[in-house]
Amino acid sequence: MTDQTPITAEPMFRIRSLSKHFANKPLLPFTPPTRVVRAVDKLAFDIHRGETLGLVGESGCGKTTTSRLLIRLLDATSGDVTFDGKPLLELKGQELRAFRRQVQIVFQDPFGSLNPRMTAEQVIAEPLITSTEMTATERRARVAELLDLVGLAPEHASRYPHQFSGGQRQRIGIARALALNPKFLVCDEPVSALDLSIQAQIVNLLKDIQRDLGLTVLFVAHDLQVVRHISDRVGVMYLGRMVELADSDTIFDHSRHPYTRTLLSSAPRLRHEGGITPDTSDAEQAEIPSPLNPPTGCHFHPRCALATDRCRSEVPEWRNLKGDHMVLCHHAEQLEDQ
Amino acid sequence: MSKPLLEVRDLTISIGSTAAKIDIVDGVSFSVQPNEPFGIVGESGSGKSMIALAIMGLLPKALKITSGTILFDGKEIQSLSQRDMQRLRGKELAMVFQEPSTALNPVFTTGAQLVEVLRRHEGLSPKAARARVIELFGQVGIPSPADRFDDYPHQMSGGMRQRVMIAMALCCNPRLIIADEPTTALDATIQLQIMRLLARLQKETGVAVMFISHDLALVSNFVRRVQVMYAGRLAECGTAEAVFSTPAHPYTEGLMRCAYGLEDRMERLPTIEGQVPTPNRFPKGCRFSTRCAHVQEVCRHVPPPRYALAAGHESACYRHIDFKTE
Repeated sequence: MTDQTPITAEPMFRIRSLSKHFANKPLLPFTPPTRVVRAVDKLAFDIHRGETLGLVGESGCGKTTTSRLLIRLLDATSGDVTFDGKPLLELKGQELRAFRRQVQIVFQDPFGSLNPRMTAEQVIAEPLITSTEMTATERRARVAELLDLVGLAPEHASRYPHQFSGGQRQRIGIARALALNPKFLVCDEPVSALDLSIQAQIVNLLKDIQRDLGLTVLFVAHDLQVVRHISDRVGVMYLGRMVELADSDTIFDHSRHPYTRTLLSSAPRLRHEGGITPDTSDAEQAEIPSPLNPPTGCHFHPRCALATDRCRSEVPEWRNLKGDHMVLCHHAEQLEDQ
Repeated sequence: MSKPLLEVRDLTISIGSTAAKIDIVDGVSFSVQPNEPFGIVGESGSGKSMIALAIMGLLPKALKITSGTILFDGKEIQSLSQRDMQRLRGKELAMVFQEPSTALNPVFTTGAQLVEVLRRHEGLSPKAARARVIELFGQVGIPSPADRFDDYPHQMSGGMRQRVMIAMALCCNPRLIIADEPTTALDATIQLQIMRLLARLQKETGVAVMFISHDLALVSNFVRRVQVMYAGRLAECGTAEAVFSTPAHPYTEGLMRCAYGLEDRMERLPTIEGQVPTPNRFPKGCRFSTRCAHVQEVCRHVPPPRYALAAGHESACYRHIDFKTE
């Protein structure tokens, strides 16, 4: 975006005790639901202007729900969120529509998120038709500009989604998201459906766009390695709670949460010498518990080597370890640097 | 080297009529030794899954093996009748699929699905089959196996379902298990558990495992020999050590750079420029020529032969010698 937003201490999003519960339909009217999933449970964090915040976690951890809540695609159960100083969860009507023009999303699946009957140009121009007063000529020019921005050629405009590869489709999705000059962009697993050699292209592209347009980005992914390269700060989620939040290097080199450590160590590393990893024990048998019935206290305690009785009964406090390194663990101090 | 358990010679799989046929797998040869963990690496469209399906006799109708032979234990199997193939499949050859939620039948309990295999191939009594299934469940690390016997697939997590799939593959003590992206649908922490389980079972039972994946880093941890494929052709093959320490094909080297890039923090991630060509746009010469940084004129017109480098290390690149990893 070209208009300069002054860098102020006030964050773009201020999120306090944000929760989203999904309940099944009660068996009888007027009775409470029998099963409740706390998909997002009392999150508290800020998203600063111009930063890229990575949100990482395994399936069912609530990372996608969180991103949907922040752009009001889902309604929160409770919580207090401000966007640009305004209470986000209470926005209605005209104000909500104005908010929605400022936020956009890039979806995970580049095959399912583009209408197969529309050309690339039609896909990218659609938000311009619905939300601006542009003439057809102006739209055409804007589409050409966007195609160039995401690294596609002008002749791609008239092609249909099936004529593109996965990486190219994701570029179209990005162009569409950028059409209205959003302030805030959610990228929900934008590269996980792509091949490794193409993933890197898209990550580099998003990084360039974020820097050139001064966007604020929430980058949701299950892959820690990818997140590291694009994020200024990274939040790690587990079963609906955020367990650690710090700047990217701190998360990767000085993590203080046992779950983050587990996640980091399970990413396969290229083995130069080839052959079989000597450690073929499968000692860690534990599964990710069902979000329907999460463990008491700290959700991670059944898989945690540091777990004590306190962890089994008492939910840890979301606390600042030092210098904006937030952690949800009773025993964070016990973890030394690796 | 002993006699190979599986030998694929010059396999070509094509789609379309003879006039306009496209070879989606083109002249691929490799062999798997008994008792060996073998890996095939390639990104989407490399033809790796098609090779697996061809070996299992499960190719979709639109695809045909147009040349080449598949030898299992010295016998040709690609021309076997449906009946003979059924006898082999599940008993001698087993497969673990990528998506455990669709590979299991949702209306039968997991236990019953394994009992069916045992009764059909091994002729076990219902009681003996049940006992064997519970034993297998234990072997693949399913906690309290007797209780999980009556669980339906939807009552299990993805990781547990994949353990059931592996138990099913092990049912009849096969000689070769083809694991096609066995962990791609799973979370990172569960992926590691499943890979270690496969490695442990491979060692314990001595079954040969053909491990197919797009994930170079993952494969490098679990195989002794590896074959890298690109757009239906072999790029490079050899021992894991040779391929991963001295790659001799620009595609392998590029993939390795991408994998390394993720491990270190750097300003820009290394990429391989361009896109994987779709089958109707395969270049005439080397299929990687459109993305290769080391491309020469000859690469664009004539497909490169396989060059033998060190023992068992082969590369399908004209520039395998002067090409170096920086």
